[in-house]
Amino acid sequence: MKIRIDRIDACRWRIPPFGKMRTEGLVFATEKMLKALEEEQALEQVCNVATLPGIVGPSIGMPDIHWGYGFPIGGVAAFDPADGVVSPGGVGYDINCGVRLLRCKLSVDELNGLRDRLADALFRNIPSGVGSQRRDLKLSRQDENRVLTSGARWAVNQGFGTDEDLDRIEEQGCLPGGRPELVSDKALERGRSQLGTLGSGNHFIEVDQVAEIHDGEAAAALGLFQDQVTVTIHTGSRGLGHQVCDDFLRVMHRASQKYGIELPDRQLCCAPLASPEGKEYLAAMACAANFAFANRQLITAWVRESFERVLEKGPVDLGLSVVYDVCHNIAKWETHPVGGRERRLCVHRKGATRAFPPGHPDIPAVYRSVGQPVLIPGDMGRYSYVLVGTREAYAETFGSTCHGAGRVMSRHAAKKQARGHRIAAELAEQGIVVRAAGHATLAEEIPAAYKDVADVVRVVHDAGIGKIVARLRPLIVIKG
Amino acid sequence: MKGSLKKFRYLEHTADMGLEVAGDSLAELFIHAAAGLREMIFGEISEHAADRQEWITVEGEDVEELLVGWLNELLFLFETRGFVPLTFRMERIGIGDMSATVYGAAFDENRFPVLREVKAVTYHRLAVKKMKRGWRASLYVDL
Repeated sequence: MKIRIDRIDACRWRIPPFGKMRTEGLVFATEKMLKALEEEQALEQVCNVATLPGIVGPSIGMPDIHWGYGFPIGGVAAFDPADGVVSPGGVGYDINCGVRLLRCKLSVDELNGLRDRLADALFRNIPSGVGSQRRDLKLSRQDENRVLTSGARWAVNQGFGTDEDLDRIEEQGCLPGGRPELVSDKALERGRSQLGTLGSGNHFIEVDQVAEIHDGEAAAALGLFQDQVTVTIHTGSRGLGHQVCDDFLRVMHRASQKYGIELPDRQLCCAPLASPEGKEYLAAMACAANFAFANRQLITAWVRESFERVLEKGPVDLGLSVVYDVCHNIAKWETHPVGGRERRLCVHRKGATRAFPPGHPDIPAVYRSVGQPVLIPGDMGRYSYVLVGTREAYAETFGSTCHGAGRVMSRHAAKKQARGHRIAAELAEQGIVVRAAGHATLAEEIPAAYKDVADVVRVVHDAGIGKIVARLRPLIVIKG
Repeated sequence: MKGSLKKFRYLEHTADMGLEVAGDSLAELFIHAAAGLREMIFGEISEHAADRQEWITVEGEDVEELLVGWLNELLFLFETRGFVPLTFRMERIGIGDMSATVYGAAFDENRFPVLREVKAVTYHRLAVKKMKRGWRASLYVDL
């Protein structure tokens, strides 16, 4: 399908409504990115989302947008509580997949000679890979229910972390309204053995170095300094979230028929926010989101433990603390200014990150002068970025920005390109120590398989929907 | 769809992967889809020494939902019980429900090295069609 798209400025494009679209599409991209997008279906998916009932404002595509299931990955859409809908396809299978950044007091030099040992310790202490389980953390059904209602708080109560950690997590690490009775036995069974595991694919733990500071004031507020050692954790709700999504796609398929919602794509199935099905999905989704918050909290504790053991330093000397933790697959109730008045909306972010502006009450007091930290991982060979949220994002994109690099190469193509290359050895030559569980993971995750994340963050920075604070360079990569 | 497809082949997708599947009957289509999913996770498995079995029943309001349900059930068994499916016997298959016996082995990393994790089989561009001869399906998985 050829879609008409009009240029607004150097990084904004508008898709005027056509067919059954109820609103316009708004895409953030350079001309070059847009050319690549026209070859796949991501733009069509932006249009599909615009056909859903009760959508408020445009259907938004971020610069890392690519073809997803139902919603594009890199899609943002907000819905009215009275006549809008909620869609599991607008959240994704990996509910509350997200990123957490830790900082410490160490400079990169202090890891000299220890990188391999640290990589081994992290790889050993944090289960990764397909079907990874933690044998020493057996959850009872009762415990699991607590995880689903209290999120990262549960982990802190068990001794994994501190109250200060909780202050620096989106939603303080707990989405309210979780109802474990709506989570199926199958989802609970998948979750029980997977809490505290990384998973595989694009999930990772990285030890990074602050390679470049772009905004000194914001970096200082975030506690970041040049050459500092940081840790990035990227994972989500594991099998529990996948199962909740799958279970509710069935419910939503029936609900779409029941409420007469016409769908351009079955994966976009949804239910009115005011319906029992819509409310139940949000309550089950909150449980999965809380599972993911607890998961990242546990992994944080084991990262701390690994550092302490290898560096032979105590927690105070290391100072491994949470900078922030963001969700990038979620639907949430938020209040946003629309047409001059505040409205409560259900904002879907699928492969997009909340980026609230300076002064917003929902961000930790310590960051209120600079804006909410936004964590944008890149590929394993190049760099990741730390940004902060802006007033422009709040006004234009429901306080949202991009979430990562976005693939440009299929896994098959990546493997073909990787053939004959010793990926781990080549990364080691660049000073990056890699440990990977899956046999195909390294080849499929080669840096060339992803967009250059610098191009992605440059677009959101230039558009004003995010402000670059610092660039991180990988030192150690643990892949599932 | 080309006519030469015997069992299944992979479909390209930027972020994920798909399968195009063929079968003489609906039962065979489901079995080939299961074999395709297994190969996506483990690559080719040459040995078929099954030492355990699982019974799977799935209900669905159409054949598409049945296919997704069947494959996701296999993912569930692998993830929670470490059950690697090797051979399949379809016991019954209708429009609204199906049941099958699956013969398999316990997951052992040395015997069955894992290539990649499949999170879920999706409804995206899902199609199950009866052809002049046999059945065809295409589906995408979330990786």
